[in-house]
Amino acid sequence: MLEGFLTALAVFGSWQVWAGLLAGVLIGYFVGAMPGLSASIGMALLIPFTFGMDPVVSIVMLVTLYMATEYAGAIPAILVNTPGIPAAAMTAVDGYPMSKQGRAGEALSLSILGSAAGSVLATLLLVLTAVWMAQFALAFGPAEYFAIAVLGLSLISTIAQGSMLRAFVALFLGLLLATVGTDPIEGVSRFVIHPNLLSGVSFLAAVIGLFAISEVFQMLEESDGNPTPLHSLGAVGKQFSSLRPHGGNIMRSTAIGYIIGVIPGAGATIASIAAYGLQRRLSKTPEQFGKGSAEGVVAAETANNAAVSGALAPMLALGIPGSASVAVLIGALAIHGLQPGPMIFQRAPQIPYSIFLALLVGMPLMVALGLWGARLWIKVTLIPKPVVAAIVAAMCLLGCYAAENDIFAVWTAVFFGVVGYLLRKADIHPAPIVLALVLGYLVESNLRRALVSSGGDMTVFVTRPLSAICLLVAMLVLLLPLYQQLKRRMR
Amino acid sequence: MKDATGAAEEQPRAQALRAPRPVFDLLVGLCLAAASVWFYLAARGIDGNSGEPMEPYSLPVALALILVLLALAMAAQSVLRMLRGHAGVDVVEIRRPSGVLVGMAAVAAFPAVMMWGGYYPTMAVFIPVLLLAGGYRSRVGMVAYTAGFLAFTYLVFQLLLKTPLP
Repeated sequence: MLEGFLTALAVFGSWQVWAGLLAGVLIGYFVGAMPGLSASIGMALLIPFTFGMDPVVSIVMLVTLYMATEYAGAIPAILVNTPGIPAAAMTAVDGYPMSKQGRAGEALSLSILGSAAGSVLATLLLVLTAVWMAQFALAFGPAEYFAIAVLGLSLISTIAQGSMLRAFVALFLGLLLATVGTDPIEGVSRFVIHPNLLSGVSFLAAVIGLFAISEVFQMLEESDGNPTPLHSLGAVGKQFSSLRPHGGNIMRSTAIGYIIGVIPGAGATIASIAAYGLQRRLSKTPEQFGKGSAEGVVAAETANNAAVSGALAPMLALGIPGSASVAVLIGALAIHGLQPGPMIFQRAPQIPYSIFLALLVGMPLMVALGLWGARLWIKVTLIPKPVVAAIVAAMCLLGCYAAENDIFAVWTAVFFGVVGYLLRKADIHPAPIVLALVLGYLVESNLRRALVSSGGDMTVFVTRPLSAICLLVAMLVLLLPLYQQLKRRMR
Repeated sequence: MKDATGAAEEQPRAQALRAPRPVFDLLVGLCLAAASVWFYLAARGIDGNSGEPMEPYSLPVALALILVLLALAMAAQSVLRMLRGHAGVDVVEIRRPSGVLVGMAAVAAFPAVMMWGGYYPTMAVFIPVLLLAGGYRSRVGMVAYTAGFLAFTYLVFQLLLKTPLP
C-alpha cells in the first residue's frame, strides 16, 4: 500500500495533475450548483476533453469533479430551496429554513465542512476496506435489497414534519408514482398515459418541481417582503469550530454514507435520507428538524459526500459501478485502456492511489473555495425575491430540458411544481414523496425478484439473517415514534 | 415606493386569498382520494397472468387502496375539525393571489410556448412576466436580468455544453 501511495505521490509532482485537480473542483462546483446537471452528466461532458490527457490527470479531474458536484448541490438547496442535485434534497429541508432566518452563511459553512469531514473519513475507510466492503455488498440478494429499501421507507417516521397521517399520504402517493412506467420484472406498461412515461416518472424533474418550482410560487407570494437581514459570518477559525458539536453526527453519517454508497444502486440520495433520519432520532432537539436545524444539514451533507467514496469501492475492488457517476468513470478508464478491478492495484497502481490522493488533496481546495465562496453566495439572499423567483424558475426549466433533451421533463417539473405548492398549503411536505420515489423501484423489483427466486415463499425475508435484521430495525424505527406519540397523547 | 433595486418597499400588506384550513384539507383529501381511485381502476386494467407470486398490477392495486384510505382519513379528520368549530380559526392563505396565478400560468405555459416559439424568444418574455408577477417594476433591471440570463444560456448551454435548444 505504501509503495502505491509513493508511486501516486510521484505522479502528483506534475503541474498537470494539479491543474486537473483544480479544473475538476471548479467544474464540479458549477455542475453541482446548476439544477438539472448531475455529476454523471458533467463527467460525460468532460470525457472527450480527456482523450489526449495522461490517464492520471484525466482520472484526478473526473474524481474531483464528482466530489465537488456532490457538495455544490447544497449551495442552491440552502439559498433558494433548489437542490442542485437530487442528493441535496435533504439539505434543503433544513438549510433553506436556516437561510430564511438569516443563517445562510452558517448553513453553507456547516455544509462544506460536513462534506469535507465525510469525504476525508470515508476516503480513509475506502483505503482500508474497499475490497472487503465490495465483497460484503456482493453478498446482497433481492431479499436483502428489499429489506434495506423497507428500512429506508421506515425513516418516514423520522423525516415527517407535523402530522404522521399527512406524511403517510405523501409516502404512498410517492410509492404509487414510482410504479408508473414499465414493470421491472415482466415489462408490462403501467399508467403510461404518454410514451415518455415508459421509463417512469423522471426523478430529477420531480425533485426540481416539488422543491424548487413550488418554492418559486411561494416566493411570488412573499415578494413584497423585505430581504432577511443576514447574520454575520464569523472568521474562518470560528467557522471550523462550529463543527465541533457535531462530532458524533459526522461519524455516524460518514459510516451510513459510506456503507450505503458501497451498495450498488443505493446512492447518495438514500444515504442522506438515512443519515438525516437517524440524526433526528438521536437529536436532543428533534423538534428543530425541518425548521432550520444545523444537525440536519451536517448529517445530510456528510452522508452524501461519504457516499462518493463508498461508490468507488466496488469499482476499485471488483470493477463494477456503485453509482451512475462511477459507471461513467469506468468508461473513462476504459478509454485509456484501463480495466478497474482487483488487478488494477498490480497493473496500474498509480490509478487507484491517485484516486485516493485526489479525494484527500482535492478536499482542502474544495473547502477553501467553499468557505471563501460562502461570503459571496449568501448575498443571493439579499437579492429581491421576484428576481430570485424568476431566475430560479428559468434555471429549473432550462436545467430540466438540458438534462434529458426532452420537453416532457419540463412538463413533469411544472406538474410537480403546482402539485407540490398545493400540497404544501395542506401541510404535506415533499420530502416523503422524494423518499418514496427513490426507494419505490428498489422495493418492488426486489420484492418480486425475491418471491420469484423463493417460489413465492414469504419467509425468505425473515430466514436470511441480514434481511431479517433490517426488517426488524425498520419495524422499530417506524413504530417507536408512533408509540411515543400515542403515549404523549394519553398523558 | 421602490428602492434602488426596483423592489417594492414598505408596501401595505398585499391582498390575500383565504380559506378555512379544514375546508382546504377536505378538498385536498378528496382530490387525492379521487386520484387514487383512478390509479386503482387503471391498475385493475393492467395485463398480468404470468403465474408469478406477484403480478404487475398487485403492488399498484394495494398502494392505491391504501392511499384511498389515507386520503379519506385526511378528509374525515377535516370534517371532524369543522364539526368541532375549528373552521374559522385556522386558515390557509395565499398572499398576492394574482401574482401567484400569473406566475403559475407563465410556468405552465412555458413548455408549450417554447416548443412553438423557440427557447430564446420564450425566455425573453418569461423572465419579465415572472418579475412583473412578483411585483418588480424596474425596466432597466428587467432588461439586464433577462439579457444576462440569455447570454449565460448561450455561453454555457449552447456553446460550452452543446445542448440543442429549440
